[in-house]
Amino acid sequence: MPYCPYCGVEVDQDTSNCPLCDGNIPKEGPPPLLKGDYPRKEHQLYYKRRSFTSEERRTVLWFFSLLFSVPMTIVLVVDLLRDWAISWSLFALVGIIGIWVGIAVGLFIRKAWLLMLLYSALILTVSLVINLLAGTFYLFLAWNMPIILMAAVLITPCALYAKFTSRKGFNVAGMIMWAIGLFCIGIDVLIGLNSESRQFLHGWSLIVAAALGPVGALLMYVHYRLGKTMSFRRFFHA
Amino acid sequence: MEHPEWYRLDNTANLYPSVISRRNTTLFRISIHLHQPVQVDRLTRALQKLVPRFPYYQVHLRKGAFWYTLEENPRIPLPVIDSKSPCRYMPIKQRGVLPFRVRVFSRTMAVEFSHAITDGTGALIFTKSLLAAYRLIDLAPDSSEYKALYREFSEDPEIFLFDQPPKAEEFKDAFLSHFDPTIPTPDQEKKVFHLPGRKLPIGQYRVITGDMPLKEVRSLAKSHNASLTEFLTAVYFDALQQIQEIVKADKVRGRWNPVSVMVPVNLRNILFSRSMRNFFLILNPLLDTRLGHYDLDEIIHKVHHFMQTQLDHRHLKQQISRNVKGVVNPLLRISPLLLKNIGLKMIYRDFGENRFTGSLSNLGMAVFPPSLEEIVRTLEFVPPPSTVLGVKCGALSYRGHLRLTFGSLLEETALERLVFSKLRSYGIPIHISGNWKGEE
Repeated sequence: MPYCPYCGVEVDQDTSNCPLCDGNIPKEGPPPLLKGDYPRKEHQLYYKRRSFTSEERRTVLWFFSLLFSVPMTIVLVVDLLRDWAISWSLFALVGIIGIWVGIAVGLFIRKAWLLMLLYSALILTVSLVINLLAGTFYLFLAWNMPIILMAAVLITPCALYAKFTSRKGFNVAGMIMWAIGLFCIGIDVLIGLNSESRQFLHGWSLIVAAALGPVGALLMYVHYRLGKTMSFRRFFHA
Repeated sequence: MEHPEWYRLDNTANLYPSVISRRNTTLFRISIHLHQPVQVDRLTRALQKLVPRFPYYQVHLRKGAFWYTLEENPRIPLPVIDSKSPCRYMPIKQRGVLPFRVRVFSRTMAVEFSHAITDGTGALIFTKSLLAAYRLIDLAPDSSEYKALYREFSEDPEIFLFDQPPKAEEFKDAFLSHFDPTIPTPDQEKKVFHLPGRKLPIGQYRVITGDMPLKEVRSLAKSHNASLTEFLTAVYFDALQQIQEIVKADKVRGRWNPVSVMVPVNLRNILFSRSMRNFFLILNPLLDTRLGHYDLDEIIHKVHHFMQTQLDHRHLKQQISRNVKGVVNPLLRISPLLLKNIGLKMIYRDFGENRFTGSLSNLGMAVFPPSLEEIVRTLEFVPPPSTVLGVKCGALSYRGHLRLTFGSLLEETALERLVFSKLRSYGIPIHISGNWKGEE
């Protein structure tokens, strides 16, 4: 029988890689003599979370559909009984349908980048519909759309960074600080563009960015420089 | 037998999910050291066949509004490579993660169980059954060897063969069967001394095992008119007393509380149950060291009489009723899990392990059928790590050998050294082994 030279276990005749450590199994050679009852090297074990099956996902969506149908019916009936027309209830209906679509997207889409894209599009659409119903399309163009796009542009890299960074810690907090700083500058510019004075920067956003920028840099420094020599989990554990 | 899709946690297990942490993993372990290297593919096949026989272990922990529950989990565990530090953290609250695992290295096969599903006796039965399945799995069912082995294994009541259906009594929470709401609650215990010392980094767990001849330790215990567990507990007390005296000499000020050892007792034989879930109670012999120094004979005498008094079935039922009363209380039952988690953590801290200085868990004698004895060299029971106690001790006897295993989260090894040197001073030869070489 072939042996794994690293784990010292016997494997089946046709096995090429060890089922425990994935190491190559030599074709020939004597069984290894590993000392002691415990391995010298530490192997990381991974526990895969069981994701919901499609049937379970559908059940959850049915549950929410049923749940949301109650407030939708109530607002519709109240609106009809009060004004004999569908008026203000449309706003509530758009909001509830938007949340329902958000839940459905979250349940069925697994790719992070697609999820971010769809959520941005959804928020933009809901906002557009509400503004169209209210007859305030100019407000959508002036405020809602730029703010939503700006938030999406800043949140997406933060989320992707947090997902793909190998060691999560202060670096994620640092990234968020920088994003908040940039968002404040963006809001300030937007206020300037939409105000009569046409003054692009009012100063407050620069103060916020000047405060958050170094904090973010400090967090990154702590994470990437000090973190190599210090175990944060050990240092801060309660 | 049709088995349910989900289970309530048993009375003792209710506590564990709330207190799980990276250090307090609640995992304990039974290791089997074989004469030959483990055949890992064969073990995988044995697990595939055997695990469905234990539906109460083939589960995953789920959060409810009021309690944690165990839900059926179709996964079969694959053997994983062993670790230098056993009983390391396993995310059992994660969906789909089985609350036990099988670890392999060279000639060692080990099963690590979370206390949320069973106790040492349940784990030992599973381990024996796994070994039997490992022996049978690659044989043709119509061969004479298979038939002979099958007959031999089916005669052992502690081996559950994979083709035998589980019995209803195995699923039972035996605590509930012995609950009597009219029994008054026992008195509250005193505060006790705790071992001082720096903790090892998270993820590390030091194991030191002393292998000694069972016959000699037994006859030594008999010469002191005590059982093996009573004698070992007394030696443990003696070592704790010595440590307390050393600490006392260094630091004069401070409150010096008594010393207490947690001794879990398997209730299956006393209260006649075949439950495969947790069914044990804790006895807490106490030595009031504030009254002066005790020599070993005095300690043995005290421990022996304490055990005899406490092992009375009325006393045990009083403890069971105290534990179950909390769970059946209607107000507690309807309080949300979030609040319960906070409450249970406090109960665990103040009324759980905080009442003890040390722990000695003797699983007794493991008896294997001859065809399994052929392949098994030694057995070992590693107790679960404890952040409160620091060090815990487990004992398991097999083929004339007693293996006393200390699992420790502390940097210091004073307790282990004192216990083994005390046994050595009685002329008992001890072979020490462990996972620690001091390189980290």
